[in-house]
Amino acid sequence: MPRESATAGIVPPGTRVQRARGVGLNAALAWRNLWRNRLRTTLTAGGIAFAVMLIVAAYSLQGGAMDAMADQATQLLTGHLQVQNAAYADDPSLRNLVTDATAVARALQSIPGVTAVSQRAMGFALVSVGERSYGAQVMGIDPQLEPAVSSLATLVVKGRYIVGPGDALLGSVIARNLGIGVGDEFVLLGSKLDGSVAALSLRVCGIVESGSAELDRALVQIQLAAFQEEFGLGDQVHMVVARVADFEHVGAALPQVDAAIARLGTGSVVLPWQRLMPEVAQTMQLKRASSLVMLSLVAVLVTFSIFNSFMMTVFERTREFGMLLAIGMRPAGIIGVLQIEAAWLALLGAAIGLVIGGAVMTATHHVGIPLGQMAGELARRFHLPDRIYPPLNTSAMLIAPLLMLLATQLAALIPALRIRTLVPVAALRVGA
Amino acid sequence: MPLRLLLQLSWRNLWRYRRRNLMLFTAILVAIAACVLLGSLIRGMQNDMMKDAVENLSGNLKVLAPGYREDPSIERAFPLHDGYRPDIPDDEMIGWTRRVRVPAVVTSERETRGISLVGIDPAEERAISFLAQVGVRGEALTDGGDDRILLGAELAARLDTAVGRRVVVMTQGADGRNREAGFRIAGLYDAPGTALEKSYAFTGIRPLQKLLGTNDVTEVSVRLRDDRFSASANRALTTEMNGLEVLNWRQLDPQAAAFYEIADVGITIWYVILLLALAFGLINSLITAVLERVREFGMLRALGMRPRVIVAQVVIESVLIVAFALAGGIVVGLGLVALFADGIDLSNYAAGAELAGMRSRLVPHLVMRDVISLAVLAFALAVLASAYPAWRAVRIKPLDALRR
Repeated sequence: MPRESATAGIVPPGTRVQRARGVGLNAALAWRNLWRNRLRTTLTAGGIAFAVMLIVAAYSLQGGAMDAMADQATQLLTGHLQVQNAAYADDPSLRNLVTDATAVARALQSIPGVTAVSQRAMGFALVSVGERSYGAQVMGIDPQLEPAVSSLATLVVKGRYIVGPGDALLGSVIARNLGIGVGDEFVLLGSKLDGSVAALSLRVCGIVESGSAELDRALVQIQLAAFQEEFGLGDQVHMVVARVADFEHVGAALPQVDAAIARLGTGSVVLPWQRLMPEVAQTMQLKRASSLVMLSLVAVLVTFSIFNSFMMTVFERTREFGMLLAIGMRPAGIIGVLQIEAAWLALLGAAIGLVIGGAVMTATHHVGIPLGQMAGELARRFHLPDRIYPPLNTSAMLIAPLLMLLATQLAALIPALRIRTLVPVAALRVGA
Repeated sequence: MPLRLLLQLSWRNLWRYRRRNLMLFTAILVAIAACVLLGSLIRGMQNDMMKDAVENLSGNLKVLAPGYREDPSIERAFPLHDGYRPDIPDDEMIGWTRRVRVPAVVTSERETRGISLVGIDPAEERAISFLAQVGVRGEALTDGGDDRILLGAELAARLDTAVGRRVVVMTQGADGRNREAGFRIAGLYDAPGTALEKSYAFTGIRPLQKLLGTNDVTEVSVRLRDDRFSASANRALTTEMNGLEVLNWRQLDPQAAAFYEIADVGITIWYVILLLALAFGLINSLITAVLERVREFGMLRALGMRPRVIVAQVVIESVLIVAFALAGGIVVGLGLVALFADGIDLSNYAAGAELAGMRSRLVPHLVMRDVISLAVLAFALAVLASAYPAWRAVRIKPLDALRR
């Protein structure tokens, strides 16, 4: 306990210094009081530390998994945002085109933060080998630009990526169903924009395993120019796909993109990934809501035990409080000391929780969690990579201690308020 | 010392500090009630997931020709004689059906899409799959000889077609050659979510067999009354279906199965976390109870009470509080489950819920096994939490204690 304030000799005596000394004294007193019952303080602080640790860990893990999920999901094909014909989202048919696609692509590229832009044409067609035919989702892509917006190029398991107009990249399941492999030829049959028959003879250049059953079963990628020519699209496309530097900044870039596209006046709309993949966005919301419920529950339970511990403290010290009242301390002063005790306790618990939680999560961030081994099938369904590196959630490290500080203050205040009604003489007799 | 006396002693001790113990009791009760409700919600989710997986044409068990899963074509069909019936007792089986399922391309006046065309016997199908529960605009299929087609509403929208119009279906026949046939649309079904609607179209099994030029089927699907009959039914089917593959829903839908299993782990993890959060308060309270009674314990020791009786007393106190809170918590938890019996509305997250294999309404499903494992965990907590306080109580030296 600091007997003399360090500033006592320098600053002329005044009320401000007096009060500062009072607070310092109370803080020191509270800290000492806390350690009068070492075991109880340790255990209560342990409870607070447990809650803080859990919140930090849960939010870091969840944030990491969510980011990885959204990032992975956008990487595969969707991109961070797309410019489409306004009708395409509800009716993805060949005729709902983005006109003046080159201008749209140029406008997107000029926006700061946008790192990659690629154009795509999409259509349904029949792929045939001999007598065997399957329905396929045919995608015309630009082999130079596409790898920057889609990770599909890295998922080629046999052969190579598309180079020329006769090349086709097939999903592994559709290739197996057709009974063809790299180097084999097949025919693609569809209908052109004007309704006449489009037929294209192609050679399999590569087989891709995307991890998405739907894509593997139906995907055929070919060169964009070949698609546009054969389906009679001219230079129109169905979507212009863009990626920004960091997927958390998609929202920030959106107004600029909207404005730029609206200026072109082509009747196209901008759709962010949340709109393109509502299931992913909603899974994230659902997870957030459910873990909020669980963590609040943990916080409430820990608050119960803090409350209990303060109730015991107040009861055990009834005599002491009676004496303090008898020698002239006001109830508010005693309650103040108790609240400071609670604050110390919360700070102590939070510090322990932050140190342990922070250390564990920092280590986890470096080592990573092998999701692929733990839940391979599941990871794939939720677009999760094989190993995630959840970053430490700094806002949880701030919010968790504040939450526990608030809870502790409340838990201490309720038993402490009893002191107001304490009669000194009666209190002095307790336990005597 | 007789147990009855010990119990009585502990019980009275609890009431000496009723306020503190009431708080502890409440905290444990809240935690247990929350565990019961959360466990039931997770089980409800799991149930929906299994039901969806089973009702999405997989059934609890399915018989397929080897290789059909990799290459689902009519070439991998198998014959089934007319009077066939799976050798599974009626009290274990809700129903079964035969199907012909082939990949096909369906074309309307405007659009073309790839689908799975399924030839069914509508009466049998309705007993075992999602078709019984979905709304149909227009008419449903009447029988296995119905030569009209039933499309998903979403698929019809994509094809820009409607009830009463015609679509052309192209698929590969049993001889390997392409077949094309026109089908009139009987009706459009409206399944929860769009995934089913986009992938399955139905017609009568006999017209489809005729189109494909075969009498074979591609699958036999069995819906059991409970998944626990799966193993014995599987043996029965494997014996009678010589050389064919018999698969359960877990093998047919590994993603749903993985999710199902992870929910089991999830329940245990949450139970342990919530009970650990309680442990701090419980230990705290027990230690205080011991320290307040140092003189008393010292005197009891001096009078000749054995150390293990003292240990027993502390442990019994802990167990008693937990036991009563557990009972209260289970009652409150059951009440909460009953309160939410209509389900929790998740329609704001419908697409996300669908991805997670959940429905837009989450209905809790109470599993007795979970309540039992919760009780076991709670008692384990009670005993473990009393270990250190009990040790402290034993360490009390009679003379030192009495001198205080």
